[in-house]
Amino acid sequence: MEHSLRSRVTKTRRLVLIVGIVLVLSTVGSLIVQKQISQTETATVNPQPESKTTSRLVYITGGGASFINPQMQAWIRVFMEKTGGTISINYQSIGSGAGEAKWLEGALDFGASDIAISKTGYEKLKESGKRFIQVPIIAGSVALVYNLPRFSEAGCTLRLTGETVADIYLGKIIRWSDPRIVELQEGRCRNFLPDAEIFGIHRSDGSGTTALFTMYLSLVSREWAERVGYGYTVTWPRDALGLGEGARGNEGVSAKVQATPNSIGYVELAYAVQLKLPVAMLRNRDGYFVYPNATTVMEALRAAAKELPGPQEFWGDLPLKHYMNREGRLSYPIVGTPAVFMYIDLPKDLADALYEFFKWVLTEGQKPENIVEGFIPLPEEMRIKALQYLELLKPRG
Amino acid sequence: MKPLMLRKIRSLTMLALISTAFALTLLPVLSLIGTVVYNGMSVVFRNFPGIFFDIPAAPGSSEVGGIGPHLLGTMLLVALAMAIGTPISILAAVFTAEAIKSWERNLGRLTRLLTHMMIEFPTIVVGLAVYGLMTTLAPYIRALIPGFRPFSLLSGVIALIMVSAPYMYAQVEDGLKSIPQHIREAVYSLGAGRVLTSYVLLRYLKSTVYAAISISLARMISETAALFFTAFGSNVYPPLDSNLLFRPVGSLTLAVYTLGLSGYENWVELSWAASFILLMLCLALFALSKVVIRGE
Repeated sequence: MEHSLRSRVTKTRRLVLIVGIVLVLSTVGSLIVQKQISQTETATVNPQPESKTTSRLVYITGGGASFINPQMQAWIRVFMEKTGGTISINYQSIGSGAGEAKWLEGALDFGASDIAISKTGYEKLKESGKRFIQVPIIAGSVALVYNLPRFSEAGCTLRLTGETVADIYLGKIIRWSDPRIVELQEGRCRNFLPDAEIFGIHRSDGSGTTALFTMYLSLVSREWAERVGYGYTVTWPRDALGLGEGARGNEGVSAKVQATPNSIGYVELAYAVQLKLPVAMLRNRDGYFVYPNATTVMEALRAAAKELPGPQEFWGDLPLKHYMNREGRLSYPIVGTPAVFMYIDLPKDLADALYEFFKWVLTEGQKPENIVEGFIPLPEEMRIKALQYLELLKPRG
Repeated sequence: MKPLMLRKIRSLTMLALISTAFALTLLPVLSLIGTVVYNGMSVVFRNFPGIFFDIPAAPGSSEVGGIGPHLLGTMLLVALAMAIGTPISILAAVFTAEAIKSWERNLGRLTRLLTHMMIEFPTIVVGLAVYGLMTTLAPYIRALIPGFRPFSLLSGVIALIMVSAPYMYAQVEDGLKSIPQHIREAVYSLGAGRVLTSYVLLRYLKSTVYAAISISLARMISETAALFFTAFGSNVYPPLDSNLLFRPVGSLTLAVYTLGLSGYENWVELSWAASFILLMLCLALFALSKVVIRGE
């Protein structure tokens, strides 16, 4: 009896010990956090006197496109340091589609997409009568990457046209040695193309990258527009020949291209740059072969800035109608502008915080020191328009 | 002489076969631990102890930063989910196993059926269900709590409870069922009431209960899918005010997933560090549970 009593005491003691450890750990954790917050608060001696009104902590939740996630996190980091922790912003990469859906359901303060609000989402918004804005925040473009070891070793760069790319993915061009590809290359390089089948790699998951890429193919190839069309996912005719395959995410396509000789694929430019994959030149509308880079992407968007529709109009086919295959000898043909969307009639402190953050993104955030490697800032014309749209967020009076 | 040789050969062959099978079973576990330790430990020590407190560094920079918000998020999620889930599942198990009256038995049977069904649910479905529930309820909850969001610590805690409580329930219930009837009768015959009897029986089972607790703790720590649309994840510290429960929090598992897929070298490294910390937490829990059980 006495023995069991003692063992009960030790047992209780042990339980208390475990509970205690958990409590101590969580207290220490929260103390550290508080210390961190107060540190950042004292470190910055109120850099913006006009933001005195936001003395309360504002917490913003956003989510969407995975492509812009690295750039978003970099912006958030710098912005939160600047404002001394009065505004906390949490952006999670859950994909363009989920970003839009969860924003529509009211779970997010702002959503982000590789393109813009989709047709169905737009109709839902119109029905509900809620006022919202869409604002482009960064430039994007799709790069064609390939794996031709001998060709690259010879110092050659692949040159392609929209029509040949469409024919490759349609399964009409089978081999690298096809005359339609060979004739595009520089004289010296023609001999280095292998007489092998082209392996066409594409995204298996729904993605804004696929939407942009297939929009471009629909624009330049009538047959593509009729047989395949465009969207977050499409049916790939080349797969039916056993010469094509899907991969998940930009990183999946990059990895598969890297691992498969004689393959071709498409990824967001930032990934191609980050992973140092060979990138093909594309022939633009004026007949020049161009690489995707800051100059050529910004040039294409500069030409399109004039036609940017109002912030509450339907933007879903924007790249198709306005951005792609633009005039100008330096314009790269496959470009887009990832955009964020938010409701207009928000509580004042939330609206103020969103306005302050995206205003910073569209001014300081576009400067080279705040742009992550592989990303491209908006051209001036587009940036000014975006800032105008953002003004709608500011509550009047 | 001959049969002896034969027996020796047979014995040796069997020994070889069993050793190979043993090695094959152990290999994946060892290689998993090895890979995570190899890739993760150096990163942890590159920014020590900052890795536990800092937020992730900018992508593409030479620094790694830390996973402070994710560690804090996991701690908050698991602590709250354990605090709420453990009593619920243990009490439910006692109710089911110690039911006497016929309505109690029927209710118990229903509970068991539903709980066993819940064990089979994919955790991503649990997460989506909680998200759906929270979105539907959000307008009403917001009338009471203005800052409420479906993506929140609260949703994450509910999802974690729904994922791990059925396991704890099943284990404790099985344990109670396995207690021989005469022991139960012995307790009752000493004049103990039902509550006291249940308490005595639970103490009789303490190692099962401890094992159930530590297993569900490990399950909660390593849960990913159920947290996607509930806790949502966060790369920044949530402000520690009265709205903490109603804001998104990060988690180590979500950090492993999103940072690992990013394609930026320093973020991928950070993802390895997060996996390492996660693995160490789980191994420590495992060890702790062994010590506690042996101590009895």
